[in-house]
Amino acid sequence: MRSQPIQHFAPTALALAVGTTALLVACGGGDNFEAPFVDDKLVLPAAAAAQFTEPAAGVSEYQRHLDAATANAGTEFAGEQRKQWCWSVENPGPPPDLANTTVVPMTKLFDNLYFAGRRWVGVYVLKTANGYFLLDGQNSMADAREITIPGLVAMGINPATFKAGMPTHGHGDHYNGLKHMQDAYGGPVYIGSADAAALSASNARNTTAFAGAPTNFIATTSIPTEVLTPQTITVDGQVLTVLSTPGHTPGTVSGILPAKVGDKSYKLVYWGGTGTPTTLPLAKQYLDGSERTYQLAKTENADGTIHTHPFADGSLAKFDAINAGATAGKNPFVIGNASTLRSLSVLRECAAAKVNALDATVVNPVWLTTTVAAVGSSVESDGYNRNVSARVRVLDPYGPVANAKVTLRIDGNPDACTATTDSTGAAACGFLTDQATAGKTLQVRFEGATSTAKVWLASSAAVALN
Amino acid sequence: MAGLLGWAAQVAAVAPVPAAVVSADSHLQAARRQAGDNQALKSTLRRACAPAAAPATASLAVQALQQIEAEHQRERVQARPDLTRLLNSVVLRECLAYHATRLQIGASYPVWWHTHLTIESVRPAQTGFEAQARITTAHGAATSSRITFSRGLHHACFVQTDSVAQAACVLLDTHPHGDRVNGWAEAHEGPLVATYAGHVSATAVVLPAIATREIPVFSSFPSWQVPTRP
Repeated sequence: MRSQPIQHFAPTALALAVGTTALLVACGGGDNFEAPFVDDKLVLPAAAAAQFTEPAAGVSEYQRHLDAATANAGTEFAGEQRKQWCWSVENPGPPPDLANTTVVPMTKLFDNLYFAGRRWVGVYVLKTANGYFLLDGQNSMADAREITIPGLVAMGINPATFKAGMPTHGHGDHYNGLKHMQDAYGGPVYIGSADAAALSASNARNTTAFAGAPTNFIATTSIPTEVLTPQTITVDGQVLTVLSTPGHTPGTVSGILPAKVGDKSYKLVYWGGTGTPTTLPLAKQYLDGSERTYQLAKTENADGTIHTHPFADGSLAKFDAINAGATAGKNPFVIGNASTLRSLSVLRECAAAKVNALDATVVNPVWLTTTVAAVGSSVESDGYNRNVSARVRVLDPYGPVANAKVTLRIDGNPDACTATTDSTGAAACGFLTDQATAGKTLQVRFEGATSTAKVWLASSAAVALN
Repeated sequence: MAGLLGWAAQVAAVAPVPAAVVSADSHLQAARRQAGDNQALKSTLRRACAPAAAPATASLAVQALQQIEAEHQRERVQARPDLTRLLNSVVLRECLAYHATRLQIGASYPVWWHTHLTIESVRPAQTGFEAQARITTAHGAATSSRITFSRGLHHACFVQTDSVAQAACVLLDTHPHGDRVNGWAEAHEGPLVATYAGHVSATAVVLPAIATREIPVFSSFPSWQVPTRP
């Protein structure tokens, strides 16, 4: 970068800067811009009124997090998904959706990813190079026989090419069917180590659940629960990212599944166990897992979410849309990283509220989604350089975000500038570049910020340059 | 709970609250009320609340206050907290808050109230078993406060306390499986745990409490539970 960016260009400063350039030109100082400026033609549209009102001071931590969950959900996830992520926080009984046993036929979601099961629980089938991987296993051995296997055949997948399975946690509705798959076709079954005992012969319920099978256990390969950073398992050459997220059960696992449409690749994040714990230690772990899953989805730039209880994250409605041919040519699971993170921020706030439902004295900052709005331009000098500038506004669901540092950068270009938002959430800056900008995209990025009470989540905007 | 993001989390609500006005005497009275007739606690109170026990400076008083709050927190997060130790540290904390308030002009700290949660009964009900608990505190009846009952990973219920700080509800399978046979077995592991979340305001912290009770493991399906398959 050849020039220092000018932040918060006041009208007088802008006039001085332009005047200086004009003076330099008049004195034969060259035809290039000497200092960056904010294009005075740039006008940000007026900010829409905040959709949500920030809770008053003194409101309980529990309510503060529930309100943040609602605010983060916004209009995009205002209905079913906000309700489901927080269901067990706000309701003493189970969601009625868990009682809906209607069969969902094998549904092709991507070229390599399918779902089959019942409306309350089911499995994802991931095609691999020489076979397939199952995320979860069906609620019963009968459902594996009667739903998974016919579904695989219908999709042209040989059931005998089962390469591996992984229940998201050690509850029977997630692993029972894998007993049949392993007995019939072999293959490892991965499980979070803290839940491994649930699949073993030491769990008395397996004698009933696996009635008719030669043994009363599933042979498992443990994923270390105590490792809280992302891990990988390799199935038939396919590397899968998994993340230990104890909470719903001590060994719950979340992660990422890769999906493809033609030559385009996508990443889908799954939360392994919905249903907030009812004791404080597990509730704290659940919260921690939700935060790490958010981070994983951010790092991996996940494009959407899936859930083996498909009503929990809106997947069920997407199956229905696909099966009804009502997707308008768009894959409903590809919602983009910003929406994916928005959904997970709702989950995180619900998890934080649950901690406070069990201990009102705990203070966790609320996580607030943010949005960046920007207008930008590239102004060519008479010489070889250009001035790129933008006006930016950063908002959270409650209104402007002050003191937010935003960075403007063109991909592949070292030039950049930063600015800090004022009390209206607005900021502006510019930078000079000697590189062409036509057809390039100006990336405007807010990396997030923290205070004692709040975490503002990162967001970005892109501006096409002339 | 550091998490990967390195963001602050899990901060105990013990900081001074400048907007509220809690007098030094309020802390002294709270210490006395919570010591009650317990001779050991009265001895603690006499020793710790005495003017001669006041730290030499305001900063030392705040430091001592923070230490006792941290000590209380460490005990509280134990799997089976020692209730006597908890109450003792609350009395000590109130004495230190008394001194800290007197030594700092304008300082104000919420009063801490120790809470005792008792599981009073567990009895069979038509659709499971009903648990009943009561909260007692020297602060008065903890009414309209949520008590959560939990057993194993599945069975739980929560309800607000009534006018005598009592709460009762029938534990439900919060995560039933379509196949009830499986869900039932997973639902009945471990003791019954009752959790009172406590209550925080600018002037008072009614502390959370946990109580546990061992109850029989159901070795077969209760008569009211008809296993069904979808």
